Amino acid sequence: MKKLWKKALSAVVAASIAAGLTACGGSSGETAETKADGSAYKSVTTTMSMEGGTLDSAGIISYWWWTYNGYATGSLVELAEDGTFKYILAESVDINDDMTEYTFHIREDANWNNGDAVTSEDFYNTITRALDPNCGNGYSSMLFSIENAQAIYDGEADMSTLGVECVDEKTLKFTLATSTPYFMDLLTLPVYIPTHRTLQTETNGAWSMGEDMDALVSCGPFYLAEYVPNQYCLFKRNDTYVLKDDIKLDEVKTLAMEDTQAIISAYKTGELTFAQADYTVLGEYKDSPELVTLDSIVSNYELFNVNKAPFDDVKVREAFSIAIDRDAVAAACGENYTGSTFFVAKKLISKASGKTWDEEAGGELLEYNVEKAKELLAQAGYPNGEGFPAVTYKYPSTQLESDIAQALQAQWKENLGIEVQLEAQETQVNISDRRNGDFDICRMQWMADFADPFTYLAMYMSTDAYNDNKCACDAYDELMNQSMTETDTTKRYELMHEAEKVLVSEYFWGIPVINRQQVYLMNDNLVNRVIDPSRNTIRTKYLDIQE
Amino acid sequence: MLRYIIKRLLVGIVTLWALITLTFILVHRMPGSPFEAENLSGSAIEQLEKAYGLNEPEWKQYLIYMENLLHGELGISYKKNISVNTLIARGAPYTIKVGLLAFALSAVIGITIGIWMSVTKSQIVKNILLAYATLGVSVPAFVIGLYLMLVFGVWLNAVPVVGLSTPLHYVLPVAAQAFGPIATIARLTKSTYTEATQMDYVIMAKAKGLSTFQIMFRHVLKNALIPVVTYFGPAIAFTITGSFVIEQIFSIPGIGREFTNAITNRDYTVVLGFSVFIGALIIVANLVVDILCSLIDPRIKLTD
Repeated sequence: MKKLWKKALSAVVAASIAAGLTACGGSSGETAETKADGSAYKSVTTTMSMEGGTLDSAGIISYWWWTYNGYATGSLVELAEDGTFKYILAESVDINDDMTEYTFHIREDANWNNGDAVTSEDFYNTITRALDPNCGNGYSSMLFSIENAQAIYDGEADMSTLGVECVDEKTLKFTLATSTPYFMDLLTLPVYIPTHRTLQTETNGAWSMGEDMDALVSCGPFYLAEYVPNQYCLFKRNDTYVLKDDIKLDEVKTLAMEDTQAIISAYKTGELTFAQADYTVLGEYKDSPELVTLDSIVSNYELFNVNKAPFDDVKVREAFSIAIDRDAVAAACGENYTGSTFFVAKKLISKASGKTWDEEAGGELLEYNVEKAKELLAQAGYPNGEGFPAVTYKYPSTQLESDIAQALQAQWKENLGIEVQLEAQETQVNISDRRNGDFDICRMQWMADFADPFTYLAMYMSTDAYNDNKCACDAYDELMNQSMTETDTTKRYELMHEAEKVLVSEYFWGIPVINRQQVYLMNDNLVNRVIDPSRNTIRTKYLDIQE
Repeated sequence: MLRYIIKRLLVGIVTLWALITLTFILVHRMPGSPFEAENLSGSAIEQLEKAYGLNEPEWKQYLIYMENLLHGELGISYKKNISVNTLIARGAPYTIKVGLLAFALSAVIGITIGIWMSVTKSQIVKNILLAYATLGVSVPAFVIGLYLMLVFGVWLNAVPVVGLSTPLHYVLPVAAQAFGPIATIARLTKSTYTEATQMDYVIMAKAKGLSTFQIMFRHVLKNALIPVVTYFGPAIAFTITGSFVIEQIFSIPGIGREFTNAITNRDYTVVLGFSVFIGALIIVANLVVDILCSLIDPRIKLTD
C-alpha cells in the first residue's frame, strides 16, 4: 500500500511542478559529454559552504571567498607540496640581504580572462582597499609587515607612505617594516590577491556579489561562469591562465551543502564526485580506494585563565595538563583523531627540514603522569583535590566538543579527584566569553592561515590581539621575538620549537589535546591529487579524470 | 464580513508589532555578537559595529529599525552583505513551493486516509493505517527525511537528493515534509468523520433514499471537515517551519536554512526580518482559514 501511494505521490508531485519549473541542466549524474576534439569533457562536482561575505579579496571574506579562491583567483606564488614556492603570476623575486625588500616580476603573459594584462596596479588595488578599516576584511592585519601599513590602517599615516611600490607595469616592490621570514607565505592570503584595477575597485560592491559577471574577471585557472545564490557555483576552465597546462579539468561545480550526512548521501548517489565526509564512513569505506584521509593542521587545545585562581598557580595548570591521557580522549572522539602534546598542529610540514612538526621536535612535550599530577596538586594546597574551588569548562555545543569535554571531565575526576563543571555553549557565545576572558578553562582550536608555526605561536605573545587568556610569559616572548628577526630558517624553527616548549611544558598556558584527520570520499578515477601544505587539503583545481 | 476582515487585519498588525518588538529585545539579549569570529581583531569588530550602527543605544536601534520597516526595508544582513528583502525574495519561493506542495499533499492524502480508516471494515487495513498515523505524528521530519534519502536516494538510487533543480528533486523533500501532517490530518478526519456519520441527519438522509456517495460528500464530509480545515492554519505554519530541517538535509536554498544559519551567526537583521515575514504569513494563513470555514459552514458567522 505504502509503495503505491509513494508512487502516486511522486507522479503527482512531478506532474504538478513540471509546469512551473525550468530545470537547470547539467547535473553531475549525466553521462560525460565529449569536446570538439573528441576528448572527454572533464567535470568534478563537490560542495561548498553556504555563501556569506563577498568575493572581494579586500572585502568581507568568508567561506564563499575561500571556495572562489580555490579556483578563480591568482596569487604571485603558491606553496608546493615539498615546502618550496611555485611561481604563479610572478616569474621571479629579488630579495635583499636583510629580507626587508621583495621585488616581484610579474609574468609578461599573465592576463585577466577579458584580455587585460595583470599588472602591479592590480595588487596595489587590493592592498590599499584592505587598509581601510571599513572594508570588513579579517586579514588586513596580515599586511602589517609592510612598512607603514598599520599606521595607515589606524589612520595615522597617509597612503602614499605605504611600502608597496608599482615600479612599472610588471614589477611590484614590497618594503617591509622589519624582516618577516614568513612573508612569502602571506602572499596566498586574501589581501595579497590581485583585484582588477579598474573593474574591481568598489569594496564589497556588486561585482563581488556575483551580480556583475563582466566585472568579475579572473586571472586564475578557472572563472566563475554561473552562480545561483545558495545553490551552486559553476567554474569553467580559463584558457588565458598563465599556467593553463597544469589544469586538466574543464569545469568544477560546487553545490551549497552543509549537512554532513546529506553530503555523504549525495556522494553515494553520485551527485557529488568529491566530498568531505566524517568519521562515520571510516568503517564502511575501510578498504575502498575512494576513502582518502589527510592530517589536518587544526590544533584543538584548552586555554587556562592564567590570571584567575586556581589556574594562576602554574602547579595547578601543570597538574591538569599532565593528568590527561590524550590517546583516550582521541579514542572517545573517533578513529580519525590522535592525541597531541603540541600546540602547533603535529603534522604541519617544517620548511626547515621537510619533516612534520612533531618529528622535527624529536619528542613529546608532555607526559601522562598521574602520580606527579597528584603531587603537584598537593603542593598547590589541594591534596586529592580537597578544597579545590568549583571550576567550569566552557565549550561550543557540538558533538565533537561534547565528546572531548566529557572525556576530560572523567579523567580529571578519576586522576585528580576534581569534578569540573561542564558548560556547553552556542559557538558565538563561546567565542564571546573567550574573548572577554570570562572562563576558567575554555576550548580553543586554531587552523593556520599559512603554513608557518608562527601563525599559531604568535597568538600567545603578551602583546598579541588574539591572546585571549592574557598569558604573559617573558621567556616565551623573548624567544618569539628572536625568531621574528632570525633570517636562517633552521635556526628560526629551532627558536620556535623552544618557544613552544616553554609555553606548553613550563608555563602551561593551556592543554594541547588532539589533532584530527580530514576524511574525504572521492571517485577513484580522480587523479593528480596535489596537496596544499598550508591547509593540508587537496587542491581540487589540479585534479584530473583518468579515462 | 468586510468589517471582520479589516478588524482581523488590524489585530494582525498589532500582533506583528508585538512579535517584532519581542524578537528585537530577545535577539539583542542573546549573548555573542554577529562580528565575533575567529579571524577578526578587536579593532575590526569595533569598526564593523560602527558601520552597522550597533554602537548606538538599543532604543535608538529599535526606532531606526521600525522606521526602516515602515518603508518596507528589513535591513542588511551583517554576514552576507545583502539586504534581508533580497534574501527573502530569493529563498521564499523555494520554501513556499515545497511547503505548499507538502501541504496540498497532506490535505488530500490525509483526508482520504482518514475517511478510509473510518469506513473500512477490514481490521487489517484499519490497523495498518492506524500504525502509520501513530508513526507519522511521533517521528520527527528530519528522521523521515534521512530515511527517505537513504532508501530512495542511496539504496534504490531512484531520486536525486541535492537541491531542487528538476521536478524529480521535489519528491523526497515534499514526501518527508508531508509525512507528519498526513498522519495528523488522517487522525483528525477519522474522528470527526466517524462522529458525523452517527448524526441524526445521516439516518434521515438514508431514510430519504439518497445514494451513499451523496450522503458521504454532501452531508457527512461537509460537516466532518470543519475541524480539519481549522487545523489547516497551524498546518501551513507547520509545513513552513518544518522546512527548517528538511531544507538543511536536502540542501534546499529556502528561507528555513537561511534562518537557522542566521540564528547561530547572530545575524540580528536576518533573524528579525524572517520572523516578521513568517509571522505575517501565519497571520494571513489563519485569516484565510477562518474565511474558508465560514464558506463551508454558513452557521459560522464572521462577525467580531
